[in-house]
Amino acid sequence: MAITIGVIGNPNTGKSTVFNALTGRRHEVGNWPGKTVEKKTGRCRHEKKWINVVDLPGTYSLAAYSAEEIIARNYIVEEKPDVVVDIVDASNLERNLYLTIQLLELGANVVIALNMMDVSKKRGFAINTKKLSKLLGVPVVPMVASKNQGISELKDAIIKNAGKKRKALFVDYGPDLEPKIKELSEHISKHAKKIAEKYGAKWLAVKLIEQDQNVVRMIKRADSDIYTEELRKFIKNTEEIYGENADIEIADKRYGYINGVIKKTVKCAPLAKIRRSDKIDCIVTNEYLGIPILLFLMFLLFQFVFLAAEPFVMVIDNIVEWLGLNVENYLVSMDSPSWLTGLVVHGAIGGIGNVLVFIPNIALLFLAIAVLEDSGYMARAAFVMDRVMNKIGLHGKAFIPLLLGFGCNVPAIMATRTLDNEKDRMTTILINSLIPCSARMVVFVFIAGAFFEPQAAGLVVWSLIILSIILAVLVGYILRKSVLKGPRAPFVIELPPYHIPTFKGVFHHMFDRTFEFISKAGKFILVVAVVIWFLATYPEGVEYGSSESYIGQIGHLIEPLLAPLGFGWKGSVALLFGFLAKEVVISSFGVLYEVAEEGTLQSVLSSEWTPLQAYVFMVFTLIYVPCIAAIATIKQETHSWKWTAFAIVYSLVLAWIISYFVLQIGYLLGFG
Amino acid sequence: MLKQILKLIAEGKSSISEIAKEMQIDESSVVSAIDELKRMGYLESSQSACSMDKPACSNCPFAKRAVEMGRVFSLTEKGKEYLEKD
Repeated sequence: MAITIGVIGNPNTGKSTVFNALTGRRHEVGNWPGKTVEKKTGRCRHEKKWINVVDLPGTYSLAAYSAEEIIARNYIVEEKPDVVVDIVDASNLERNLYLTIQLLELGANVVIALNMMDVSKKRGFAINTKKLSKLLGVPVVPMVASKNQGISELKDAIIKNAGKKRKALFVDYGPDLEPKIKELSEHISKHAKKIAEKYGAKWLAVKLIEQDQNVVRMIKRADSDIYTEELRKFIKNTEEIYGENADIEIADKRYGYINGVIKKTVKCAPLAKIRRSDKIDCIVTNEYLGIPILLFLMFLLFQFVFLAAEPFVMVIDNIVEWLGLNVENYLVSMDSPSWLTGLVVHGAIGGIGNVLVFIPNIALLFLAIAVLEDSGYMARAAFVMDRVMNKIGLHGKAFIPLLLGFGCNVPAIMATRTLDNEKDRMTTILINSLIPCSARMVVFVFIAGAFFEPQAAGLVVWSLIILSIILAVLVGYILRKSVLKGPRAPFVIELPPYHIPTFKGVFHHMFDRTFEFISKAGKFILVVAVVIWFLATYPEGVEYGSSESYIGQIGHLIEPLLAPLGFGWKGSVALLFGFLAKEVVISSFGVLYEVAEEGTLQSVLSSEWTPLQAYVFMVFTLIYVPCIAAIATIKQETHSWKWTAFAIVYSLVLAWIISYFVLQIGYLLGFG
Repeated sequence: MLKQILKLIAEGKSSISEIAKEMQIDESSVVSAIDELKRMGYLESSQSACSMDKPACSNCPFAKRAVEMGRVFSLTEKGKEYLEKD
């Protein structure tokens, strides 16, 4: 007669590999009755006996939290396979034994297939399989299924143990719970013999205390007399002791049991064998070293962005200058109308050309970010930052919105939806504006590249990032202590593993993002550049970009507000158009200063601004609201004009104050 | 173990390694316990949410791919109530 076995295990334990190794890939695929969960069955022959193999869904426990768990549990109890092969990941023993213990509590005839022994050994664990088998009372077969090691031994164990009756494992649930479980088990045994025989009275009692709704329904269905007042009284008594938290008490006792088994059977390697990623994490996420390491890496990143890009920037700069002059000469020689020459040379080439000059910096910035992301460091960086944020009382879930803010503030603001507490949410939204998005980074790269030597430009952008972090922490702290007062919300983060970034992956992301940026420059920024050119050219007869032009009039209107910061009306206009999108700030300069015609932006701007003024301009750009899309998102997410107005006003006031402060310090230090 | 992990999270231990170190157990055991606490409704998790499907993300060069940033677990109301009672 054929032996029937059920193969069970946690997801990612090599269950499918074992199933395939047992059945030789000869299997049928269908669905479990009434479910969309896949059911695989197959068969094999060993020592003249047929073994029917049923692949059960991957599951972490036998609770009734998911369809997979219920299917696995019902199959083992209802179908009673001759053997339940439990695939256990030897490198993750504690986690996997949680399911094993529940199978043993159910009295299933388990054979443990201790898979991934090679990985376990590499991680420095030495498992005494004989002792493990003795303690759990079931056979344990060590194996490496991916290398086909231990498969034959597993088949031997299946045949040897098929059909054995096993006593349910006894887990001591402690002096408070055990008497309750005992009373309840006796009650179930007395009033529901059939069900008790099938599942085991203690198992049912434990499940009822855990408030497993599936078991409650089953008992009610099986015999309405069982779920009597007396039974309800038992459960209520238990609830009085633990509230609705008996489940955690029970799970805790199971983990306690597993811990005991592990202590007796597993020897951990000395510290030298701790995983490399843990060693790295010990340093890079260290409470005291984490921030200095993050700052140092960012410093290196910006140094790389400016120094490595320098030769490419010079080449493109020369091309743009050559193009501007030649196109203008050509259009003049063709007797083109002056407005067309102006539009093409000042509007298009002046606006877009200056964005394109800094493409090498931008591409290298994206390259460096891709390396940090792919290596797994970016998540650590965000974690280190978030730990600081949490100290000021921010919810752990603010981690993701703050992280997204480095890409784009719009989805970052939308991601605050995951925060239930309104005060947490508002604080995160308001702080988010201070996280420099990729568009603002581009502006910094551009202006720093124009005003500072490559050796100093990296340091300049780096100092801006530090300023943004300090401001985000300070603003968050002030908000949590004043208008948005609330308790600290604890959290825990599971960091992804480290990877060595691949050449292909990193360059793919760099090109992807750079082309995305160029494409945006070619559409939106071009349109805005043309609008600015129009406003700088008209009304008819005025000198291009003069005070009499439309844009000059607008500039002079807002100039008094920003005059103490020394931006002049053209800088004020660039900031005003920066409301549309931050990249527009760059094209505004290109158009307003007629860069395509007059030479490099550096030479043109440096005649009007000092490096200190350029730095103050970047500080202002860093702090004031990201863009109109971000403002619209704040309104959409807060449903409040009051908070939207506050977000705009506070950021403008803060930008003004900090910029003024930086300017005065600069003067004092003699940078003026 | 589960109770202790909940308490450590509430006390401000914010990384798996910190909890593992405090409890002198393997990190994978902490992850396992945290997953169990999530299934039982004491913790909830959230993940990075960049997507090109979202209109707001269409202009963002960072949304072109999902960046693995890890999972963040925080206490649910059930978790908070349990810790208050305990």
